[in-house]
Amino acid sequence: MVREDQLEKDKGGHKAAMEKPPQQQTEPTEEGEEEDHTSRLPDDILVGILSLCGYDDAMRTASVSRRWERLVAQLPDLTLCLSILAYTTAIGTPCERRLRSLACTLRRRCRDGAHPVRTLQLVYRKDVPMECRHVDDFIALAHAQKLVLHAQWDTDVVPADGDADSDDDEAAGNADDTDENAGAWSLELPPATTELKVVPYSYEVRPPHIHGAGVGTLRSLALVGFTVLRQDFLLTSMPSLEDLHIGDCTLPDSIEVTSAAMPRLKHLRITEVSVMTEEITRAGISVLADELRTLRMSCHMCSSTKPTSAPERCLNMYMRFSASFTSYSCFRLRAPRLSVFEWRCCYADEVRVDSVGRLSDVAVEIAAGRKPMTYRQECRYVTVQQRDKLMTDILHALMPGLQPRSWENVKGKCMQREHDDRWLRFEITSACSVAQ
Amino acid sequence: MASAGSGDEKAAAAAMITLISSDNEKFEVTEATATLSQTIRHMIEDGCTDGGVPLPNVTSKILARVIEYCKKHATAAAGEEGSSSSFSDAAFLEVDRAFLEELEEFDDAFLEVDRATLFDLILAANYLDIKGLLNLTCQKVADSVKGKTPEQIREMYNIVNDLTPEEEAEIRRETQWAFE
Repeated sequence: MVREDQLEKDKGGHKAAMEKPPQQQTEPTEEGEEEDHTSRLPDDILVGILSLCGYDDAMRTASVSRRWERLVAQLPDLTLCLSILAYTTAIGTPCERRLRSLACTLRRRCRDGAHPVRTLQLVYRKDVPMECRHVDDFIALAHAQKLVLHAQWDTDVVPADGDADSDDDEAAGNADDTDENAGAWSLELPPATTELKVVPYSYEVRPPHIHGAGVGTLRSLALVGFTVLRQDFLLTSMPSLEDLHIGDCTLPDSIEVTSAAMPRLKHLRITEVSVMTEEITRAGISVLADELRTLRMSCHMCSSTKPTSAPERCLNMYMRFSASFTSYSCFRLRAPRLSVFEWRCCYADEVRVDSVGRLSDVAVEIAAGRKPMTYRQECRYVTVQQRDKLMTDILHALMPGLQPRSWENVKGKCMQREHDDRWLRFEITSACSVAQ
Repeated sequence: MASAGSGDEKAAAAAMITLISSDNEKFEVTEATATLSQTIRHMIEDGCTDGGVPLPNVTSKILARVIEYCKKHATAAAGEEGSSSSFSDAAFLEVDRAFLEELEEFDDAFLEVDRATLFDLILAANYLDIKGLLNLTCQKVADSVKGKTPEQIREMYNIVNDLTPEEEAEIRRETQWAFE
């Protein structure tokens, strides 16, 4: 078999030599096992392979050879974990020696600026001042286009009821606030940064106050993690911001996303955003964005319901930061250029739509059923009537954007899910509006 | 062996393209299969595929494998076009899952090759600009490097260490964190 291939190759090889560039490929021969296969790969492919490895795996290969050292220094995406992570714990152990070593690597990496850093991803402990200082240094040094911050907090150290004083000096100014312990913190964005993602791992970690040269050019911002989101985070003026994603946060109060702060906002996603505690928390969401094109809301985890017939097997734990069932007190929308509206498994006591644009894609999906129960609570439901009313309210509100569709047409497109009649669903896409 | 494109393609009238390997073997494939390669797609768009597409950098042995990959994945691409919805549809995903699993199994089996062939496939995927195949093969190499010491990597790929002991020690010191 191998010999036949070899023969074929030799036959063609003659012709190829005359009119075609030389072959890059070699057939496996007995000596083939001895050669350095990686030498056949061009630099960009080997860099591509090393980027698939994860930064610390790739970094270990730097002492393989001179070529590998040079290529590792070209990797565009950097992930640095500031603490030492053990397999058994989710949270890292701070280590000064490691921080020095990381700083060394990063300084070497950014020495000549020939290969700009595309992504800088940092995993660190917000409750360790030494790590926070290094994070600030690393961000300034790397000058990355995209910045991802995973901020952890050791909840075992600070009592969960939150009245203990934090070591962080900044916390003193917010002593009246017992919801979060980490205190206010600020994040200086370098001018090169156009994309920022902040991932808080614990409710003790607040969203940062964002400032610096990069705020003016920031195009994409994501706050996805367990944190308490207040209006102040959304007040920062971000004149170039086009994409905003808010996920997994909890609301102690109403929030507003407005053109005043983000005049160019085009795409907004709000996923798994819960309200802090039901009955006590009245938190609504207002979206008043002149340039907004797409809005996607979903809340499958925080607003899940069970079939009424399902046995009540387990009671949910009482959660201090997240209601067992999230329903926003009000959802208000003013987006005169909106064309995509998606609303899945989300609930609001009231829906007010001032304006939408000509809608090309709409999906609304809501379920009826029993709400999750917590200790001492009575059984509560989203009734079929409540579900239908919410659906009707939303579709009525969207009607100006659905023209020239009639109400009958809209109702005709509203159907129950197969196999699960708890779900009511309405969906149109650009494809079918063209067809009709 | 040469008529690799016949068989299960649905559209009987589909345009056929002839690919010619470096050792002058001809492979006939459908346009849908061939256009997984961006390089060939551009050639078709420029109308210069009459009389076959010469691929001087790819041997028949490797080209046969590449076509095998493209045929499988062209069917997958055709299936995806069926859904024009911009929303992820639960029912559609359900149907899709079985096929994706099958595709994954195919990919796993496809990668069961010796090291030389794997590197040939990488070079061919790069030359033909077939993103999926390039990712698949590069990932295989990346996985082989993960968790290995520099010594093990050198041994695995027969790489000559051209660093002086002093240079190596310095790099090791600076990247100490990666070994923790």
